[in-house]
Amino acid sequence: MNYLFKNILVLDPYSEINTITDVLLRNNKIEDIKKNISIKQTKNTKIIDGKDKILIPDIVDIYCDLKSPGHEYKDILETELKSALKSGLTTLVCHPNTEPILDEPSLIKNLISISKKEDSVRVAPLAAITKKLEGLQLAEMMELEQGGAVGFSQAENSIQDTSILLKAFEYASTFDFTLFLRANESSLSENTYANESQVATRLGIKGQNKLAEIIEIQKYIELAKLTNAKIHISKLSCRESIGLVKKAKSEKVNITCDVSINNLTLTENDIDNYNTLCHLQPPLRSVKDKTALIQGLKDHTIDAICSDHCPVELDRKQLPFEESEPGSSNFETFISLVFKVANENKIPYSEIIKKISINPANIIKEKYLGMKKNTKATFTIFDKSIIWRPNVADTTSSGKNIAHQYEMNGKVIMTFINGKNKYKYN
Amino acid sequence: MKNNIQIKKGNKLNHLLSIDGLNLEIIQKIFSTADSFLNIEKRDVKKVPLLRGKTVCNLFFENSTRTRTTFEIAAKRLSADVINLNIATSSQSKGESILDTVNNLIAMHSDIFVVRHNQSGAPYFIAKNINPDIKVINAGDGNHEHPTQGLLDTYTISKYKKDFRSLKIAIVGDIKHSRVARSEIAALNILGVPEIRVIAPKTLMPADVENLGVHPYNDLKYGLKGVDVVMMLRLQKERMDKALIPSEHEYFKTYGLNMNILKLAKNDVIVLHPGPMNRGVEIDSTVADSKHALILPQVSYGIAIRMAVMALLMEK
Amino acid sequence: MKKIDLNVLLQNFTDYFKKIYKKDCYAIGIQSGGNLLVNHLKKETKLKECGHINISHHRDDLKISGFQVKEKNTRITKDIDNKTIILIDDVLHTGRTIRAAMNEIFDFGRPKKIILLVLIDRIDRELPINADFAAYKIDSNFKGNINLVESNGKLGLIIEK
Repeated sequence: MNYLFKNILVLDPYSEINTITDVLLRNNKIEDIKKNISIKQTKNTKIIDGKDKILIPDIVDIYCDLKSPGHEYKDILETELKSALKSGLTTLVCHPNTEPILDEPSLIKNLISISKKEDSVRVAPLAAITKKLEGLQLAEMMELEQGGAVGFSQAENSIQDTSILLKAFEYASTFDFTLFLRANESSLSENTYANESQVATRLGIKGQNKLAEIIEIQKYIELAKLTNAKIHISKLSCRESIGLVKKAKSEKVNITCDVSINNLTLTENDIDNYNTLCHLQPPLRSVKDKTALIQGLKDHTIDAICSDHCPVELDRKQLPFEESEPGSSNFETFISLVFKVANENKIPYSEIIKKISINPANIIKEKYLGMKKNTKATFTIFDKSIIWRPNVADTTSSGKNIAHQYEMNGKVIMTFINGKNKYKYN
Repeated sequence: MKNNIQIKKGNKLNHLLSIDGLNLEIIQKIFSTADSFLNIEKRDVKKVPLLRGKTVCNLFFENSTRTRTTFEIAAKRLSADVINLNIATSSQSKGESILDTVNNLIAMHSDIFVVRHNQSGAPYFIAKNINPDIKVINAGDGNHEHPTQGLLDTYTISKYKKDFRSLKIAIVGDIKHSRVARSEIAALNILGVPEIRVIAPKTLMPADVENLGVHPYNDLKYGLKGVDVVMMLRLQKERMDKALIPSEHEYFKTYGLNMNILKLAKNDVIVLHPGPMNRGVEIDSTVADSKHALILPQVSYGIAIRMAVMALLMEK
Repeated sequence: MKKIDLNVLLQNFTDYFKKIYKKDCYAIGIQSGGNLLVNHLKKETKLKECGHINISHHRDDLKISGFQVKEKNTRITKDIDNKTIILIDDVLHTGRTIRAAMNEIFDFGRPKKIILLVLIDRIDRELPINADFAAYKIDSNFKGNINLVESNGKLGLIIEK
């Protein structure tokens, strides 16, 4: 099947096309991108009116949790990949806190081969920095990398012992591996369930002091300076963290960072009435923090936005707040929310799209070719005109725990992988 | 709270989950209803039949004989049947969810659940997830609220001081972990107290406490200057383990209420304590046994307040 | 309905009270109309010690009309065991108020006898209760409200049809 998109807004950060134009896809390859392409309409050609539609090449989600626990490994993974496909997310950077934990090359290879077999969205796994994520012994990083790991992460865990952390930095630096780190000082974040501030105080929920994030980032920056390691900090949540990263970048520290879509769209006020759907990690912070994160997006301190997709069984949310499990199932709302952030904060589409495509691809050292001609392109079509509301019945992901319970403007309607249309809405 | 399931049509009480979210009219109605229950124990028949044929279930996920007993007396004075259930949290956390536990109990056809739980928001969670005919009273949840205690403390104040709108009130102790403090603060704000002070070391002061409508003080002497009422909080022993304060001895020296410090307050100052008191830790015996201390009268007011809450919850 | 002359009713009511009031009697007014009558009797007769009753704890309509505690608490000033209670109310209608008032009285002791005096009897009963004396009777066709009130120290009847 050949496709001709007429007058569609193309946002390609690779070739820096950001205009309304026509796109011709023939034999799964991008044949041409220019205005007024005309071809003979045959049975084999679909012409799609590009009104209200946006074409975005290969969307990369730099933080998601695929869970895939135990023997249900394949089933759950399939479901989540299907959900990502429907959501237009074509590359998933998955963290090693799966069950089993990704600390052996065979597990990495296995995960990659499953996602390849599905001929679906691509999984780019991060391997564990330390064995079993325990923070005690380094995993076999070299072998894991050869197995296909695109970097190394401790997922939600931190390495408490600074001497081991230093070794991880030194070793990663030796081979130019990137360390993906969450800033979450464990003694300050243990047994906390919300931002430590007025809302948590009123509700009597044990709050996490921002210091847990701030001092950890300071530590990472000092270690990176010392070892020259490449680090990526996942899911920043505090105003102060932005300043630290900004300063480090100006001092040429090898540092990048991302922010969860949750922290760009929700605040601590959303946990009122003990709303466990908004029990998230990192916790939702204040309005001030949210404003600072958006500023960080604008001034390029923040390189990427992640979906922070985290499927949790609803039973684990139907509990008193502190007993409930953190996380929100975000694949299916992600692109709508990214555009919402752009619209509400006057961020140019071309800029915000970089945070979910070329920037994260660079962070995992992937070549990003966007809509390069004569390639089998992977891309997503987003329709701005569809208004919808997330609900349990229409959610494909195994996680029905959606924190974002409000009206969405726009929806992914088509996903193309390697030039093939793999998902179509309705 | 934004969506308030505590209040139903006609500004009537639907559940009592927190003072936060109530309004002046409801609190005044609880007080005037409590007035009608004072001195019932002095009658020939020490009961009224308002809740005859109703069942009150004391659902205690956290042990507290004292609190449970006051609810039990209150329910019995209203002629209700009382079921007491102590569910150890340890066995509960192993498997059975709180909702399963509660759903099993609904088969007993209770009309009111009095819930105490170590998790903040647990009574709210139960109220939201059960049959709307069943009313829930929060008897203390985690670090959140203990609304009947807050009501009885302010009710006691109303018996000794004329107008809330001219009072200076200080709450002293572990504000951070105290559900009593949160309920008291919310109630005093609704009743229009112009100056509420909270006094504690920084380790026992919650974040952004000013947002609750109080003025924080770290120094007991400054905090007590010119106050009409001192509301003491009990210091839990386990606070020492987590390095929040060095020792009971040092706490008593810095935040313990003794007669000398109390002199800084108004001459007719009253001192409240939710009990049981740690003499020589948060309060000196000379104060506890003085004319300023209203520790015993609070107990009978507590029963009247709890009767009032139960009676009002049964209104249609 | 014929025009009611309140002064005549009050006079008849007072005369009847004087006739039956003896040493072992104790007068109790029901809030709030009954209380007004008791106060009137205090002025017009030798009556001194009396009680009043708030029936809210014994209401059977909690589920319908809610809880009313605007009035003063029940006050019974002496031991009522073996006393003759003269129970006084402004209007007797369904009988439910009197049922509640009698229950309240029994919470304080065991009187020898209870006599019920009302100013107006609306006849339309829901319980087997009758007044020993009523100064005026309204037939059951009347569906409005009728209440005794006090304003500027003067008693008056409010009739809403």
